[in-house]
Amino acid sequence: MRRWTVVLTALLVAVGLTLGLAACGDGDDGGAADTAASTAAAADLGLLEPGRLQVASDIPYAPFEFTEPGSTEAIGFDVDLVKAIAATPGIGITDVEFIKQPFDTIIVSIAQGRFDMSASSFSITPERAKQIDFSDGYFTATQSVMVKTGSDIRGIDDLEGKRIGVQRGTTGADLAATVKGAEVLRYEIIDDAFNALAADRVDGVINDYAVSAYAAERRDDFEIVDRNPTVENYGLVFPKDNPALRDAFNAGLAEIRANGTYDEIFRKWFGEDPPAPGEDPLAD
Amino acid sequence: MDEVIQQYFDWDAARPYLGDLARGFWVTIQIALLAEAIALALGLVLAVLRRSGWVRFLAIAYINFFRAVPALLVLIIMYVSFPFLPIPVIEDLTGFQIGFIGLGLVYAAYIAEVYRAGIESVDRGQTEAARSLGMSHRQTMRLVIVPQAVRRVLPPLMNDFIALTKDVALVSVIAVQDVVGVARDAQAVTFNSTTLTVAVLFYLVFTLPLIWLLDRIIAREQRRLGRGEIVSP
Repeated sequence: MRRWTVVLTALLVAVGLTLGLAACGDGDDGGAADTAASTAAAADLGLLEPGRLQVASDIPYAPFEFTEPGSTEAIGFDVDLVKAIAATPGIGITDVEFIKQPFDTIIVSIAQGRFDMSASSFSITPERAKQIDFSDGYFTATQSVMVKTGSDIRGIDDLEGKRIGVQRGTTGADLAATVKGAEVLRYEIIDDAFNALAADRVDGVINDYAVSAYAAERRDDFEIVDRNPTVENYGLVFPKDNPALRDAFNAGLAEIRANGTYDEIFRKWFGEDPPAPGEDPLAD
Repeated sequence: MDEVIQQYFDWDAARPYLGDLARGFWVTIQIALLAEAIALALGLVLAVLRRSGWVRFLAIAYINFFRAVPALLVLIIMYVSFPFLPIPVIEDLTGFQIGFIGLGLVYAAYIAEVYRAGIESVDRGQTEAARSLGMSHRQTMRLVIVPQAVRRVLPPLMNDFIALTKDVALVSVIAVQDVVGVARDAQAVTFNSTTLTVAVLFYLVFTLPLIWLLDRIIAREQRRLGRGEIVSP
């Protein structure tokens, strides 16, 4: 009699789990192939859910993708960029959903087809390009070193043997790993690295200039002391098996550059005009 | 299926990181042992204090608090706030130190309850006999009750140690390079999850022998006390 009770309970748990997983899975059922076959609307973009664009993003990474306190709505340069491109006639989608994902898991998630794309300040690198497809570059970035105001550290060479805060999986983390004798502390989100700097747990943070500058402008205790001459380009991230979406975005990107929307978005978030193509972003 | 193998069992992708992973696992073991030492000692103190006197309310408050609050939250709060406290040693604690101290504090609460169950399971007759022989309360506890209690609770203590060892993985969010942190960093760069598989293997190699040892201890105690099912050792 008791044995039956145990077996019955185990079965109930199994059934409960299965139902729970099935209910949660409704969001991304139907692979790209199903959707591509069944949709008649607009271009055949291979979206997971026709009519809606699901974008993975590591939020917060101000000013590219973040939220205002008290709100869950994603805002930022990347958000406006994707929405503007998605609105162009070649794509024609207004339902754009930004879904928060840890940065170091996004590439693998996209490669496995769990989202339509990602806009998360990804620098275009050959290693990443083996796993996913990048759009054309949409922003030129440089790495920077940020320290506490008044620190003795004035450049990346001064970080030798010191403690460096970075975000896991970023090109900043890669750069920090090349600094001789430095202890690299890898954090989940960039804000944790900033907090570590504020708490003197690290002597400097190596991270994209635009993001560090955004933080440094808003507080007295941080300053940027160095920029790495190597320039990186941000690209939007697409799964390799969906060239249609990537190509549509490249076309859309070119369109908004041509019609001034790109410049508008750039001015909104950075307070200045974007650099002309080929212009050295370090010359300011 | 090929993709599963390629994603999780691509040993060539993981090979360059084996040294770092081993070093990371050594960090894991160190934190586990240090935290366990704190938890065992503090847990015993709490269990004894809990029994009588006005301090027992403090002990109960501590135990309930640390059983209720997730270890992850404890670690994060300590890590993020301690540098801003103007207290000499506390403000300088590193992530590694917060790792074993925080886990030690949390697991002390669980282990206190384990000791308590053990102490309460010792027959009241033992206490009565000891007291009637003229032993003080303190002597009774120290020489008669606690030794018996500890023997009885070796299995749940070992269980808690295994649980603690697994919870050491939490320190990867406070930038400590334990085996999980190293595995995740490698995965972020290579986009291959085999390093995570290796981390799993490290854990298995460490905990499975402990579990086996635990089963043997239980069986031996059962035999010694002449109770329990007849099981082969």
